[in-house]
Amino acid sequence: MSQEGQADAPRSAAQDIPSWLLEPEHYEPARDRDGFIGKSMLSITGVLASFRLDDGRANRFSPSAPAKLIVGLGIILLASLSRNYFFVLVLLAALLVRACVLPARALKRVAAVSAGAAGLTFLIMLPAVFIGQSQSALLVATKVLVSVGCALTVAQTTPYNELTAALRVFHVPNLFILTIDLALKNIVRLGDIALEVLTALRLRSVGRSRDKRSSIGGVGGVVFLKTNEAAQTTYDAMCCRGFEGDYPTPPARPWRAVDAAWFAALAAAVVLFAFLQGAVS
Amino acid sequence: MSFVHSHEHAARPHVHEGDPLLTKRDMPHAGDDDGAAAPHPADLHHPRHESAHPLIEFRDFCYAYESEPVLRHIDLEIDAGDSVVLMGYNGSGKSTLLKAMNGLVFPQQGAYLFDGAAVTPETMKDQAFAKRLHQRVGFIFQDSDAQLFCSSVEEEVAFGPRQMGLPEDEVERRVADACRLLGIERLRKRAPYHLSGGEKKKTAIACILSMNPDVYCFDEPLNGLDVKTRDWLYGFLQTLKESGKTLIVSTHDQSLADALADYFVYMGEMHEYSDMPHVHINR
Amino acid sequence: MHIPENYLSPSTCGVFGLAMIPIWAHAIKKVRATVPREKMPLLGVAAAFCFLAMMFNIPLPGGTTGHAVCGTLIAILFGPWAATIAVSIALIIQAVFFGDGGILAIGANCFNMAFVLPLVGFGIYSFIVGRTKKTLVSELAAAGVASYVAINAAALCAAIEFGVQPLLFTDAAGQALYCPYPLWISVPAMMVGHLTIFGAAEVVFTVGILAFVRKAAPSFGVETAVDKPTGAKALTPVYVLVAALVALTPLGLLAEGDAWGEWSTEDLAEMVGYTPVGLGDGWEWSSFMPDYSIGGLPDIAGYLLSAVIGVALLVIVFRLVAAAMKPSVSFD
Repeated sequence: MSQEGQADAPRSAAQDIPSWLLEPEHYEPARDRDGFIGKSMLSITGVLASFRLDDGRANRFSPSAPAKLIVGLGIILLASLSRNYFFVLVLLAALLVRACVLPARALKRVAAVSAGAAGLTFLIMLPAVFIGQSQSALLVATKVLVSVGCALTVAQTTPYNELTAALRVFHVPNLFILTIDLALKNIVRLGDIALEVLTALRLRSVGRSRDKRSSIGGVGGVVFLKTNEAAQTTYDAMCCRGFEGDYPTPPARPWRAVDAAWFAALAAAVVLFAFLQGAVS
Repeated sequence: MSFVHSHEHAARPHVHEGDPLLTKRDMPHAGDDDGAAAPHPADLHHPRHESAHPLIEFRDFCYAYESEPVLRHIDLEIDAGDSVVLMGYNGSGKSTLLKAMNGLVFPQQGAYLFDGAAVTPETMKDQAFAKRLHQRVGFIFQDSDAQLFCSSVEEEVAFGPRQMGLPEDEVERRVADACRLLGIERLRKRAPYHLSGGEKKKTAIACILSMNPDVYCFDEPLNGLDVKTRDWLYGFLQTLKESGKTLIVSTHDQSLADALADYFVYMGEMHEYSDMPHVHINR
Repeated sequence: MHIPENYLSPSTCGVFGLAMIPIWAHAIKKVRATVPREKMPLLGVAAAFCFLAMMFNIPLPGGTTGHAVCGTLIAILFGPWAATIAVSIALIIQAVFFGDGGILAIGANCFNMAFVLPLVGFGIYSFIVGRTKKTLVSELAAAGVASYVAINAAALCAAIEFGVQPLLFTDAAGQALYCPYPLWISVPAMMVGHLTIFGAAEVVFTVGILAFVRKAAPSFGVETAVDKPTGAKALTPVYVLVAALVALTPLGLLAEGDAWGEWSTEDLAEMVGYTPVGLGDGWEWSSFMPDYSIGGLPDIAGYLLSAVIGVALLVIVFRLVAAAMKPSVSFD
């Protein structure tokens, strides 16, 4: 801590202030496009913004988180294994009906990503269409649509911490879950910090940046140092609360009554799968 | 100056029913007791030219964040050389207003004019316009950590002037002056990240100072500072004010507000505690 | 009334496609102005009614079938241009996913069923309602008359589009390249069905659903008499109706035989004695579920599945449209 702060308290305002400070700055920035800072900032913040941990809200008919994981994975597995187009379409119909009642933001996300994935798959399978095997291209694209849509629906309708907690039901070690949770939180925090520092950089980029690399390096450095510090502080806080390496939790009782209905639906799907797999290919 | 003057002169702010709204022009001047208008202290060093329009002007400015209205029908005029204190409870929109002044957020209704020129996404696409705005309006964040990204204090303070293309000797002069004013000369070679809270705040102010903006926006400047640094900051802000700069300070600290303000801007539900000239917005 | 692939010459398809572009542009502008963001998903439900109505095939003695369209219904509830958009999207989904109606003929099909039909219907409805006191009975009567005239107007347009093909496009031997039935056959053939049974079906669907909606869910629609906020509960009867219609779609399979103008190439060749070149060598679009069925499985399953998928797709599309619209934030 410095005494300079006191020593420099303005005795007489007029004397201390340098002349350049008293004149308005007649600065004319060059008109050339120095968009480096802007463009890279946009791309970074775009990626980081999408890392927002969505807080999905569950409604009355939603299954519990572990049930969602089981049913979701089951659907994806069945869709992938099925050789019967009709079965995949049944799953698609079910998914579309579920999508009808998704909240708007979740629907946008699910629709965009799954349509994109399915479209890309179809493009990749385009050669099959040209040799007359368009059915197989359609089948694979539809399977991708169902799988990606199902995965995203689960992710968008469940708060992330419930999903990670659901892993406990599958006897994943608590420490592992804790690590995942902290990692997820820190990724989001990283994004926020980066955005703040980049905003500061943008506000001060009032001319031509000759050494662009070092500015971005500086930003990266600050973000790294802050996250490091945050991690250290979190660890200290945990130690102060008696953390000694293990993380005991009460036994998880996450199941809901509605889960029975969802498991029944999954069972029906399995039966249908078996029936159709044998019937028509 | 390359700003385009707006076509219509800014209207007087809307007076809502029963609103004790006083604009700066209506307010009694500090030295008006004997009827004669005392010269403004700033005029001694920096004669203010009477401008046809306010430096900062909000006209029916409305902004919503994710469908939640944050700023509603803001009418505000700030002239060059004013020293304004923003007061409001958390969530009243102070930070958003400061961001708007810096061209970081844009109105969804209404307009924001800086020195007569509208600041919109379209006008900010012009790089020269945006850079000029950012040079003329300095923003000192609440969290000085987020503001410092160079490897030494010296480089940090030199960043702005170097960007502006000033010759190296001028850059060096400014860095020396800024560090002297802020009392961080002995820290010049240090890495900003390892400084204490007060030293970081001074560094952050220095690196904005070296660009010589016309407007200084301070977002909760006293946050996290010890008493000694706080006292120093009171004095420093007075110095800035007396040199004719426009100050916009968001704070909860009433003694700072009393010491500094030409007038108050209350935001939201804030209780108007002072008799000083004031404006109340965003109710 | 769907015109299948290759029944119209590419030039005819092109003309109608080009004609639809300014119509769609205008409709989009109008819809943006008149349908608020909150009501957009309801337009999706209305489009679902249209989609489902077109799945209920009704037989005409003589072997052909037809169906209602419900375009006038949507026009009455949401405005004529909203109906244009809704019916167009339903038709596009039918063509792309179910092979019902040709891809190239989308322009012509939309012109008939999404432009002519709703606008004529709305015009007549407004005219009648403007002259009488607006009670439920008068509204339903006006809706009935309007929808009857409108579907016949659309059928006439389709018949003309069919009928001019052999007059304009023949090969060297005088055989038609595309649709082989000239005007004096196509017009009576199509109009007979629509003036009688299919027109009646349209009236039944329109008046029935409109009456149901006005009584049970009065907030369904734009500029409704009841200006209650559209809470989800208030619209439950509508959703129930949609679900019921979906469940009943297999009834549409009872009517065997194709609609006039919707034959397969082989059937047509049998009837006419030759295969028009345009049809034989024409381009075929392979859709997900051609003719609402999946090879090898009972038609009922395919039909039900198609209904569910079609309705769900329509609701999703319109919800996405609503989500893309800027929310109107009130700053007061």
